[in-house]
Amino acid sequence: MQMHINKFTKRPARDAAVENLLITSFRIATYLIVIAAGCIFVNITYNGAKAVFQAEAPFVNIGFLTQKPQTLHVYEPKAIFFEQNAVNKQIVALEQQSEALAYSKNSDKEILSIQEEIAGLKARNKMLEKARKSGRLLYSDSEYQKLEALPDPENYIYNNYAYSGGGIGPAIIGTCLLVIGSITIALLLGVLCAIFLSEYSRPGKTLQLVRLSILNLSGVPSIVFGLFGFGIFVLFFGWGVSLIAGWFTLAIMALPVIITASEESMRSIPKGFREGSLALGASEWTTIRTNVLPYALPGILTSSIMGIARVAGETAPIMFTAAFALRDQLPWQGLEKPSDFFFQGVMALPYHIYVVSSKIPQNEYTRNMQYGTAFVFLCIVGAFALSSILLRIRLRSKYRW
Amino acid sequence: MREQEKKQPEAASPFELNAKAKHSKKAKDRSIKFFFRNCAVLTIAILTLITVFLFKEGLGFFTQEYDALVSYRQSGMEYVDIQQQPIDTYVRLHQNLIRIRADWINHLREVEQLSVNQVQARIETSKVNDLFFGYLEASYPVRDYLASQLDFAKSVEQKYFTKNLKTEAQWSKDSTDYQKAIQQIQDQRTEYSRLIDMLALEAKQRVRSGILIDWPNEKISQQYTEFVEAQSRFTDSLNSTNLQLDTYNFSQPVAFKNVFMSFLTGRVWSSSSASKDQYGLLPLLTGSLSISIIALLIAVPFSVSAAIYLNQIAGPTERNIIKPYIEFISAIPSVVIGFFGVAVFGQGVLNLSNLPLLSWLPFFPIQERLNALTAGALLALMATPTIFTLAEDAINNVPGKLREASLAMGATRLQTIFKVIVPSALSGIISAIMLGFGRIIGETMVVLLCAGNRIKIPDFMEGIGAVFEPVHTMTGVIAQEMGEVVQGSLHYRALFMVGIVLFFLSLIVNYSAQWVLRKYGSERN
Repeated sequence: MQMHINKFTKRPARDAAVENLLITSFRIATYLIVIAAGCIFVNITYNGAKAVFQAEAPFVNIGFLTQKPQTLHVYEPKAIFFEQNAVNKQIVALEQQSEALAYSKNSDKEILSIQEEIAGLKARNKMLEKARKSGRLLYSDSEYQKLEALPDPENYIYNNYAYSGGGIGPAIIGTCLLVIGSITIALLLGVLCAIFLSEYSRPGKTLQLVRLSILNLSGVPSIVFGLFGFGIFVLFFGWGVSLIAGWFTLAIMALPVIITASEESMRSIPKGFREGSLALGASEWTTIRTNVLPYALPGILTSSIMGIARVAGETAPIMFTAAFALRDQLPWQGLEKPSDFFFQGVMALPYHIYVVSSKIPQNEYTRNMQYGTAFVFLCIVGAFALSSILLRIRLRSKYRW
Repeated sequence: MREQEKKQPEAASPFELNAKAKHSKKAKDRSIKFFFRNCAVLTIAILTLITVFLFKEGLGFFTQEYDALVSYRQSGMEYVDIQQQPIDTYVRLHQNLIRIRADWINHLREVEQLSVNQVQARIETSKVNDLFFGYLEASYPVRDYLASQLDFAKSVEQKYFTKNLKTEAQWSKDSTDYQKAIQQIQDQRTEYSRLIDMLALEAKQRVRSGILIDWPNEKISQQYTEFVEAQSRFTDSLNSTNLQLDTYNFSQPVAFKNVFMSFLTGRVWSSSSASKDQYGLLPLLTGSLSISIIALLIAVPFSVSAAIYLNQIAGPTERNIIKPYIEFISAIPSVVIGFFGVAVFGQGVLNLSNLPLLSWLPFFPIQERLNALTAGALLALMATPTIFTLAEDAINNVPGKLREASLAMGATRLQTIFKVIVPSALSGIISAIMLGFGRIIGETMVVLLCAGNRIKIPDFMEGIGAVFEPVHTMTGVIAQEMGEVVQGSLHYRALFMVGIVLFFLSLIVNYSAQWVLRKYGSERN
């Protein structure tokens, strides 16, 4: 007869279990994202730190940060190298043998003895590896040319790896130049444009259209900006692969983002601020200067730092507008006239990463360069992004109207 | 509103300034406004100009492609290519044959446990070689003939359809020389017919000799029967080629529709083919889309559930740490993620697929370490912050009273989330997913480094194994080939056309994301 169910009793255990299960799966998904990104950070930081930092003072490998990329010349001791190869071959053969034996019965003893043998060989291999590492000779290009006598080819095996020696100095400088130039252009044009759109322009269909198209432009893939930067600046204007072509391409890429964000931060300032100033008889420009810009400035700053992170992090737009795979001279060396400064290609970190990760093999000698570049680059871009995020969090709590 | 507000100070200013000061102040104000307007106009002009430039360079593709198609037809290269088609089919048939041979060898090695030498003795009898190698050999005369024909047609194209660089002149197409050359190509037709008949006859003989072979098991003999059927279909199809050649007209005008279709639905993208270069979008588009779909399938469940978790379930400390962390992921430059894929992740997936534990999966072990899945998984990580941030915003914007009302009614936390909060934030979540898609499809460096860069439509007949095939994408092809093109060439313009397609795709995605928000998101506020 009890038709009425009390809603306030404890929920059935099954429901609670389902709820817990789902909540746990949500939590797992969240932490999986965290772990996946963490893997990348840890991998790059761990391997990159080996190239950038060192055990002795000054603890930072200054050579790596300042030198030019060079070819790495490697001499490995011949005897050890061959012995190691032989040992490796033996190990593979033995492993095959034990696999073959695993199919037939009554061979446990044999397998055991083979495995023992393998373990012995592996230990020997490790020892040889150590000997090889201590016995090998590494020269970067400049050192190699200074050598009076080459190591004896009787005792050493010679190999060389492009880009793997030296450092990434020109690439860091090139990236800095590209970012400074392009962000100056983008901020100048972008903020002025945003002031006009938000403060002076008359609301209407045209403004709506302009706003919408700028917003949509900010979603256009960076490679498309690179494509027309290449078409218009490099080929049509004939500037060639140059710093200035890269500046304009990157600036144009960052413009829509900066305009949208700056305008947004200006429009979010309450009307009362402007009206109060205007009511006191101030002119429009004075109102903007004293009552709009100061409050919009943090927002603009955030957006511009975000713009810097984006500009510095992109590879596609500079691939064929500004970046050289290798350039011996620093940007201010060997200029015939001052204007040449703008019309030279530079090395850039992101493009350098692309080159070293796609054009040279992956091995113990190239690793340092690859991971070191990625680590330095990640640090630079990460620092900008982090400061932008922190600034935004602080602003959120500071200004509320 | 704002117009009114601008007029106000003039009308209502209570302060009396003298006329001169007022005038100069006004002039200054006006000039400042003028300056700002000019800057804005300049900026917008630059952005417009660039779009216009993109279109100017890209749309030239169609006129150039039209010219190329006309010269392709009139120089007789198309005529030769029609003759080539049966041979291409023939070579593909031969690949089936090779596969049968490989299966046979595998069977001998693994089931019958023969050593290499024994297998060789079984397989390399003259009867067997007659079939497997003779089949291909039979096509050599036709192929030699076709190669020389193509060379000749090419020389005709060079002579009569390409502008001579030295004299800037073009040979007249009406000249008797040109007519003679075309006539010569057509006259070779009898030779072609003779060769192809010979080929058909010989292939038939070879295939018949194959029937005498005693195939080791049912499966392989079944494969062979299928091959014989395909071969007889091939012989039948020769007639249609003949018909095509009979009705061929060198001066037939090229329909402009074909030009569009050759780009939009072309299945081949090759800039260095023996015959005419082909720029078909389809392989690149399918590559881009399949990678994006893989990435979305991975990214959406993770990022949406993270958004729900952090906004609704997690405590404030957890939220304040993890949210900026996920936002920070978007700062990892794409080239670094691509490098991680090349250096670590690709090899990891390959090693995983080689584990004996997973060998029951039909598509394991995989062949290539760089494939659509590698790129897709990494792109998923890149799209996660975008989708997460926007979806979290949308969930955050759901008024608190809805949640409180639901909880007050006795709904559980889960019911509140799934029946109240997610439905009312759905438009925001969907638009977040769309923007994430826009981000993925425009991404360049990860796909350039990790997608394997093979221009081929993945074989979707293989089912899920298709995700392990290397693909090439629209963004990747631009990045890879742009550096080496000649300005104004067909190839250059084709790349700009791909750029235009990307441009429109991203516009459509962005616009529809905003549309979804406007249409379905308004009731919230």
